[in-house]
Amino acid sequence: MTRVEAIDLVKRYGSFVAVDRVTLRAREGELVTILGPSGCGKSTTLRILAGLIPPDGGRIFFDEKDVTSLPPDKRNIGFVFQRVALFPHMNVYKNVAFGLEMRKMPKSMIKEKVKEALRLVHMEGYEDRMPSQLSGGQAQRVEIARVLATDPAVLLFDEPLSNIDAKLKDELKYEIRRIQRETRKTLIYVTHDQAEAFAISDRIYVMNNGRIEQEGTPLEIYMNPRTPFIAAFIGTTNFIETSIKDYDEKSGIATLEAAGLEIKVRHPSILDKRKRYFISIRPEDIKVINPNDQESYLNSFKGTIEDAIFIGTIVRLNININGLVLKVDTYGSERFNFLDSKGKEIVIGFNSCTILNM
Amino acid sequence: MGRRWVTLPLVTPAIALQSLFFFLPLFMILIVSFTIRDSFFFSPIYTFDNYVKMFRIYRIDFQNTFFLAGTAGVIDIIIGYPFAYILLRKVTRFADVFRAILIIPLFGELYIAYGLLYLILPGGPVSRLLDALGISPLDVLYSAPMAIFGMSLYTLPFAVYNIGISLQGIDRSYEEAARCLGASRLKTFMRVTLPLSLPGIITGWLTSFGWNLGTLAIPVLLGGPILGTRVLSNQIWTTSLVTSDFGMGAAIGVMVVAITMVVFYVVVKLSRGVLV
Amino acid sequence: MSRRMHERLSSTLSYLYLILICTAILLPLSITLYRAVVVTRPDGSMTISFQSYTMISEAFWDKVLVNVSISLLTVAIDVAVAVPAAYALVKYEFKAKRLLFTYLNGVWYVPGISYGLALVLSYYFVYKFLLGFWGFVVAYSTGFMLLALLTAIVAFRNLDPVYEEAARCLGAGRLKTFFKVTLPLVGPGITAGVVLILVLSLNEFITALLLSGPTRVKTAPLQVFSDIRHAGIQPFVAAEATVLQLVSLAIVVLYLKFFGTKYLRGAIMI
Repeated sequence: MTRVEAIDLVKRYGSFVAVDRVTLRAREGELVTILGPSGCGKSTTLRILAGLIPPDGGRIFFDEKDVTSLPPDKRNIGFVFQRVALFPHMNVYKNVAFGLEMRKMPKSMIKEKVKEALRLVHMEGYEDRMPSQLSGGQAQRVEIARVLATDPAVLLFDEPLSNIDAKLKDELKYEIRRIQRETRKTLIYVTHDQAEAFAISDRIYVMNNGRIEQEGTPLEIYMNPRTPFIAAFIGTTNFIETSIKDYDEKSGIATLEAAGLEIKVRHPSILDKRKRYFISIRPEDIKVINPNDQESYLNSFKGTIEDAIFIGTIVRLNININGLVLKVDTYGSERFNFLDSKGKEIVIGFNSCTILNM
Repeated sequence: MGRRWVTLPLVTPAIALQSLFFFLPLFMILIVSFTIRDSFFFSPIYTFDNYVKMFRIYRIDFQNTFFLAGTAGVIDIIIGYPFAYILLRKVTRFADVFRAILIIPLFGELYIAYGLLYLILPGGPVSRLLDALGISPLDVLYSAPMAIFGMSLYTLPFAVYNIGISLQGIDRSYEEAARCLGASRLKTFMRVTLPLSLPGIITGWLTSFGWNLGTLAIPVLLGGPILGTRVLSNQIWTTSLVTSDFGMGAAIGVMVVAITMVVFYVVVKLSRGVLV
Repeated sequence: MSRRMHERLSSTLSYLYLILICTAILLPLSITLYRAVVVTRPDGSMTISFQSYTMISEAFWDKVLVNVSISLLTVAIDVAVAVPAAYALVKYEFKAKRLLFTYLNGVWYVPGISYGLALVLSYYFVYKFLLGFWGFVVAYSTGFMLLALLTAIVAFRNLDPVYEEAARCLGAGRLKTFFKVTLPLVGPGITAGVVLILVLSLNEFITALLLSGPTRVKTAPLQVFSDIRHAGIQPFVAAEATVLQLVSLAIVVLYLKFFGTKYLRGAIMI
């Protein structure tokens, strides 16, 4: 088990800053995800950690050891690539044995370690296959076995599931989680898929435009997105641009105004009245309520159903309130009632929403 | 990290080989071209005589060479364009067989010359046919068209290759767009495909021309005693190595290189923007 | 005409055109072969006989051997020189990269006849020790290196860098990665260059013609050339002319059988 610490990493390509003062830490045995849209610099960051790209600034420590200037072969890492990187001219056994041969391990021991690694990923019996004879999912399992066989200090996974079809992907992400738990290796995982990140991570770093925008557990990031980008990137949300009308320090409730509506939000600290703020309301936090129940909600409004969209387990309503359109999710068997209710007037209510700096 | 210390040793042998055995000899041929006869080997006498005399004595040879090589290049383009187009766009079965056959001319001009020599020589397989048609085989052999035919066979692969490369570089959506805008197949080809593949036509002709400037066996064996021996390659060989007039041989050699370079330069200039 | 018929007609015409041109390309070789093996008896009937090959002189076979040794040495030198250079040109960014590439391509733009004479002059004056067998090896190595370079560049470009990165991450150093991963994967591509150089150097004529005088070495194509001029179109000359052509053809066919056209495309093939 190894601790990973990267401080102020910088990578420039000409005038473009791909990685901008990125600092991140992974504790012993922790699964940390770097989550962000494509082109945000997450893969570059991971490749810097691996030593595949030299950084223009910053330091990297594995435990107390400064590895910043070490080449990849001296870092004792296990890197899993997005594309299948199994050597096409070697069979599965030779592929898994490669790293061990590089470490000059005796033959008998290599045999044992390869067997153990393949068992761990449930690929025993495939030793003689060539990579071209494996399916995408099998190849990625062998790939994971190949890096695990060398007993690396740190595992680095660069979107290992992005080229695998949806069903298998779901299965494999829990596999990765299981294997990481079993081996208790520190794993830094890069992905653009928030569902994947939420399912497996201990902690998430959200990255955008080369910077870390927020760090926290999946729950923290979902509940309290710190920037409009994160609120939009993680799940679906309603964004409303508002101005501050009032802040009651005793109750800690702020009153904001948007499109002629007053929205009340619990907020711990005082807000600057001269500034404008975004508020983010998750569609699943808004409920269609009984008009008599309005008292039990902090906010409740009358509106008309503009549209009802069937998305499987959810029916999403677009509700027009004085010209402001909000997305509202409905669940359970009652959701079907809304499918033919275009133009109908209803009342919605919600308690929680997040205030974001613009 | 010291990237330079990785790159330098890797490229040094290649640079050394080219510098010692390509650029240095080129420099030498330039020097020798300014000396009289074989004086360079004893006590060089420097003069411009070779260049002055050259155009007087060898004008016919320049004309013949450029005519033969230039025409062969044009024929290569005319024949090679449809060949490349069909190979890339139309044909899927046996495509690799056709590709493989295109390697055969690379075996050399000598064999092409010899094969064609036998073809229409009296007693050869075609001569009887020609006799029956009332054509004298001797009129067909030992003639410019025969030499040009041999040359264009020799360099056809280069034309096909260059045209093919530029055809591959054309985004098919341009052609599809033209079709959707109402252009017929022919119009699309003339207005879109052909102009876009112009760089390939130019480089194809140049490569063909360049290789044929240096052919010797084809003009000598097929061109007959009058046309065939009066080509630059034959003059370079005979003046320098048979009659030991190294100065003159070198001067013609330099002139051939210079003309090739001028042709390259002019074409690249003219086609600026097309040839990237 | 229906669209389907139109398409079928155009496809038939396409094949006919290719076959026509390929026939023309194959014409010289087939005719030479015909002359070498088809014998017309006095009564007018024709038979196939390989007697012409037995009439080839001992001296010619010696020259074939000289040719083969020159070609093999040329291939060895060119691969050793061009593969590292191609690797550097593809993998590393450095100043004057384009310039270097043009420099190494120079041979391509100089007609062989001029280049041959230039070499002869340099052998006479500077590289006297090269007057002989090695003069040929050096000349061919320089002249054909470009082919090894181009095919190796194509091979390295086609190689996904992910394999080398994976090897590095698994603990292999630069050299180990190159020999265990890079080289085996680009091998077939480099073989394409080997085949081309082998075939071209076995048959090289013009440079050999210029070099043969001063070096006093004669290669097989030169023997064919002088036999054509002195013995004309006798069957044994035709037989001589087919020997290296058939060897070359066998090399090409064998190569294509193993690796296909994949690695030749983009280098000398479309």
